[in-house]
Amino acid sequence: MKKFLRFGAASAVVAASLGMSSVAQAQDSASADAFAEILTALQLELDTGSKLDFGAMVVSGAGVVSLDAATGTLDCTDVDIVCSGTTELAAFSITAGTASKDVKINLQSTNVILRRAGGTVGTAADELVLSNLNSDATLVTDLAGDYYEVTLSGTGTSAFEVGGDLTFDGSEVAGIYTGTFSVSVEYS
Amino acid sequence: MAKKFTRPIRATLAAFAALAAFGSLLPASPASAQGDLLVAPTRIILDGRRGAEVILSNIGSEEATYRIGLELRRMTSTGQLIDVETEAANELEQAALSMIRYAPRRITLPPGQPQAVRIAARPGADLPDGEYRVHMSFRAIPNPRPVTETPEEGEGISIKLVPIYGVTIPIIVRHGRLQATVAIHDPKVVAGQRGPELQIAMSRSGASSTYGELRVTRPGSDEPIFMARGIAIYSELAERTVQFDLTPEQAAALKGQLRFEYRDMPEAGGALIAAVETVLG
Repeated sequence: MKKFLRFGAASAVVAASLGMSSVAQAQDSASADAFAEILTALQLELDTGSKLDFGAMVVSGAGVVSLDAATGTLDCTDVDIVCSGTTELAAFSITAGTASKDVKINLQSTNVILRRAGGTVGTAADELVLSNLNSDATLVTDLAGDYYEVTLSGTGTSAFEVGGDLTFDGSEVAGIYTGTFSVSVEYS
Repeated sequence: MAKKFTRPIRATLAAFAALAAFGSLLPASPASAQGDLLVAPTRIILDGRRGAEVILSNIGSEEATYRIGLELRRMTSTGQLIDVETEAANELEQAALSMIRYAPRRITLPPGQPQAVRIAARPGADLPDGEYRVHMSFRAIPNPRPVTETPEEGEGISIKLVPIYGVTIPIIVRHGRLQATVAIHDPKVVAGQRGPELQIAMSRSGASSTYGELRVTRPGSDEPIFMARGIAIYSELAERTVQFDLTPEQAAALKGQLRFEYRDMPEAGGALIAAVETVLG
């Protein structure tokens, strides 16, 4: 497990904690106002260049395009939607966490509205919906609702990917659609 | 998590200098994007008298702005943390929300820069003894990026999705002298959906929550044959089950005379909270 260090009354403590100087240690034990505390930390990162990317689509009617994070496959079988280009899942890394701990992954459960650059809010032709965010993390079945969870490794690391479904009503105008979705790591 | 300080925790420039110096000792991570973050520590326990700090560090490669907020969670008997809307908060939760003070609530940090978020609890004079809890969220806000691309000509639709990601950690206020006792019941290995699972029922009584690690050992050995850390049983729960996916090797090893221990985390002293010895077939 990687630890995060915090220091007060810095120099004597740094020296003492690294065992570098007996003089510094003597000073440290003589001085009452020094401390070093090791903190458990948690790092969450989006892998460099990673993004949730459905590629490019040509839409002539209603349909759904799905990216399944568990398999990494794109489901683009609706006849009115043609998919092209490369697809990608959003990939996250957890590091420096508590070893062997289960942590819950919260994915946005409400629909994400994506809007066309230059489009008008509330106009069906300028909006589409991202829903059913899913992950390759362990899906835990629970009475209170299924949820995703990862178990941090012996060194406090884990990684997970996120996919989702895009729903088209068929009226969407060509262009670039943007939106944000939320992902959080819940520590207990 | 009793910690003894000879001086109250306080952010000092020296501390940050030391942090920055130590940051360079941490292994370089391949991951790096706008909004990446480090939060330490990952749980805070306040006694109402002394404040605490959480360090938030921008470990991404670009400047990022983070929003810090308070949220409510309830733990279910299966250990899931459920989001509770402020309107649905019970008295304890409302009291918790109203007694926590923290600052700042929004931080813009250049890459590699840490900053402390100061947290204090101000329990009212007539607040009943008990444990009060909120969950603090740290979330990167995406920079507004100007849309420089002109909409593509033709029929194509392309998608730009920006994740807003972050971390939540518990902030626990213990008001008064609180205790808890825990008992472990009925450990068993069962066939789960994904393979063998270790299931354990735990009961908790008292006003305090517990947090610790589960160790399974054989008599006469200190080497755990199974271990899980960071298991919380919050004060709203009298019963909680814990379950863990096992590898076939672990499932095979969990047989015979076994000792199950629930202990404080090593950094909190590692004291025994509960133990049971049993024979698993």
